[in-house]
Amino acid sequence: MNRLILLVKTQGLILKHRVFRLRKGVLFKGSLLGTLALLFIAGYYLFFHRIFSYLDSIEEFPLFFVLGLTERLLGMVFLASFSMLLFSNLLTSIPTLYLSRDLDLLMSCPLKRGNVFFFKWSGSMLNSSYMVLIFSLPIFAAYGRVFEAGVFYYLMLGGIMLLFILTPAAIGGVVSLSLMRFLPAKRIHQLLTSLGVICLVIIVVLIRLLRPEQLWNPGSAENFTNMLNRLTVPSSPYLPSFWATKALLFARSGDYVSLSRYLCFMLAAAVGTIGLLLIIARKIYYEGWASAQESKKKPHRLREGTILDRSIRGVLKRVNPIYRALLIKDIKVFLRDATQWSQLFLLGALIFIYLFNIKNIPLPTPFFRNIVSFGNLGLGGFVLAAVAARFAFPATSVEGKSFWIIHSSPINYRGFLWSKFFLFVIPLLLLAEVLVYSSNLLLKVDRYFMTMSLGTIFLMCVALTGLGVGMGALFPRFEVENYAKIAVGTGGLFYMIVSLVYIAIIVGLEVNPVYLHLSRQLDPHFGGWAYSIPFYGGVVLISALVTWLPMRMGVKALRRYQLS
Amino acid sequence: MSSPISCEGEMIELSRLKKRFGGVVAVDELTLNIRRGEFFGFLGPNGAGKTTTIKLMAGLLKPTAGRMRIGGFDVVEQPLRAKSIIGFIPDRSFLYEKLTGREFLVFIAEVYGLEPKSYKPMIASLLKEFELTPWGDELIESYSHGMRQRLVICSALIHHPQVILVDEPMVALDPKGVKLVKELFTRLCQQGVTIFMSTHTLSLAEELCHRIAIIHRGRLVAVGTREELRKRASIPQTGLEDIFLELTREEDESVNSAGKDTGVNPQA
Repeated sequence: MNRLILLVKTQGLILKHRVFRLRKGVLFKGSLLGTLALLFIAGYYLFFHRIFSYLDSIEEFPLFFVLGLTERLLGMVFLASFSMLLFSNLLTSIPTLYLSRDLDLLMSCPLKRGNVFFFKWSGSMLNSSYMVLIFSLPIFAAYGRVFEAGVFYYLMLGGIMLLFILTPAAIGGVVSLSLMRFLPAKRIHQLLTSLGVICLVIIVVLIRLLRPEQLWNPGSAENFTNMLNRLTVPSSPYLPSFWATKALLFARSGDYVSLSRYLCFMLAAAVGTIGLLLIIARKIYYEGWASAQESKKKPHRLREGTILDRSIRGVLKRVNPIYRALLIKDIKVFLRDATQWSQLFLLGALIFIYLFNIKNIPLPTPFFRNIVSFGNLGLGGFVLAAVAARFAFPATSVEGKSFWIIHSSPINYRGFLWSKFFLFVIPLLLLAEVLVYSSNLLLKVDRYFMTMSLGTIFLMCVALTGLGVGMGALFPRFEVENYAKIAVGTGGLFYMIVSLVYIAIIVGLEVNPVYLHLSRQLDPHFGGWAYSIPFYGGVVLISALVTWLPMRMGVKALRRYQLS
Repeated sequence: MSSPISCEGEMIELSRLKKRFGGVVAVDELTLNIRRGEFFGFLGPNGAGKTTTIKLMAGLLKPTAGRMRIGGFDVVEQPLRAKSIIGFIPDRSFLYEKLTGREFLVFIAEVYGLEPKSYKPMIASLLKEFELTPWGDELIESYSHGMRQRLVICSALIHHPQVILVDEPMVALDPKGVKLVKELFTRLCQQGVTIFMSTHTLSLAEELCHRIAIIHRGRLVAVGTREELRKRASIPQTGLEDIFLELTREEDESVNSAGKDTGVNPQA
């Protein structure tokens, strides 16, 4: 136990030094980012405050209906958080438990393996959970504020969230331990493939449990009672997210007996899964770790001039040889590094859910279909931003500790960064255009909406890639071992915030031309085309700026970068 | 990128070079001039500023003050031209683990703008010379520490650098590797390549270097041939180890007495 405390203390010390021993420039950047993040969280809180206030203020809705709707909303937040926690715990635990560099040192010290495991697992849990907490806590705080919860509610909220993050972390740990033990360690890429598929299945199942289309179209319900029945029917009473929702509701209403019941369920689940995790870890963690070490050292012979090599060179024949060398290196490293390409599963999951939901939205008239297609642009932009955060944003950081090779070579950083840009913009463009085209086909939109969406998503894709690659160079994280972690740092969060603001501006600018088009459908004499030009001009101009400016700043930052 | 330089005079010129990290001065007013074809040793205790100096010259760090010219190119103003004639061998080498040794060398060659017809035979010969041919098509992640060090040395030589900056070259090399590198460096110097080598291994510096500089607490304590250093330390008929210890002790004493005079603790 003492040793475990020592490990935690050391980690605390590292964290303290990270926070308090920042260099001046980093400190400034950190405070700026911190302020922006706080502003974003405040805005996020106000947004949900407004939603809850709105629900509370509609006089036509009876109270039981409002409470039912609120419960459903909170249930969705908990279920989405639960699936995110499972997903990120699964992805984080293998690199943390098996591939961290400090494990060599820890395993060679006279420490109990159980302590080492528990220490690394706790770290993985914190890393996987903090972002979900940041995004869900303001919602619960807004709910408490609008529905006049007392201090007891906020105290309980802390306890509920603590219990809530333990179970998915333990499940993630159990799955990772089992996979590492029962699959040959030298086949780590197969293992990550399995993980990706598991994540995809879990997410789809959870999203289906939400039955989001019911909430989307409340007007289609025959009457309030029927709808409320559907809303309040517990979609999955055995899920910890359901218990957490109930516990939170009873913490607000002050029903201590029911609250204790659900807290007991959560506690039992947490203790049970952690107990199981520790038993399994005692039996198989060390063996799994040891065989992972062996697999790292195992020679892996690759022939010179493979088909892959020749085809990449063929495609890039006309590219400047220096940038071609960079591109070839990046493509090969990406394809061979399972921690990098396994991120593609996230992409697969996102696309699947996206198209699945588009197909399930009930849309009676062409007018609604066009409106949804327009809203879909915002959603498509969000999916793109999430994908770019995983691929384009880490483009510079992924050089890792090998960055000295680039930094000491006669490479022009403008070319270096633009080669990264082109590496990602082409596949992202393909993805975005196919996504928007197929969802518009599903929605059966008219030609105007098809052209407008394809054009807008093209600009968004270029801009979000430029923003990602540029900001990734502005906030490089060469020290991060785990590829998945690069996107979830402060820089990544900042990137997501800026992306969302950009998407909102673009969609906002296009509201007017879209309104004109829809009005013309009703009355052909309505408005002239020329009126739309400044708005579309604005979209092009802002997208160009969002592409170019961060890239320029990124190039400058890399030129100034000091590799100590 | 840049045409080969016919530099009869100084190949490395450091003028009042200074590097400060927050309140700590890592390199202080360092001035050095190193000729073409010279093997220059850079010695100093741990934390003296050796690695910082090499990183400054390689363009990995920006100086707080002072100037650096390599082959006539200003490292800060013309970084690409300066880097194109430098071969850099760091003490700790992180490489692209998911490339094979051969692919890594191809990458470096292309980054330095070489054509396949010139780099292919060069890579084959370097891999052979460093006994890496059987491992050339293995991923770097399976290489031992010593093999990585050999690969880094290969990568630093592939573009025929005119200046080699090398930080602790013999770390991780086996005796055979050490011999190989010593012979190679000597041969390169004879061909006109300038070598700037930072090391703790005094015997190595004594054996190979034309001139040696000793740096302590970021400041240049002494520079010259072994004979000149011996005179400077006022201890005749002795090895480099005694000279080194004497000169760094002198520097410690002068800093300590300066601290006493001003009431400042130099260790603080």
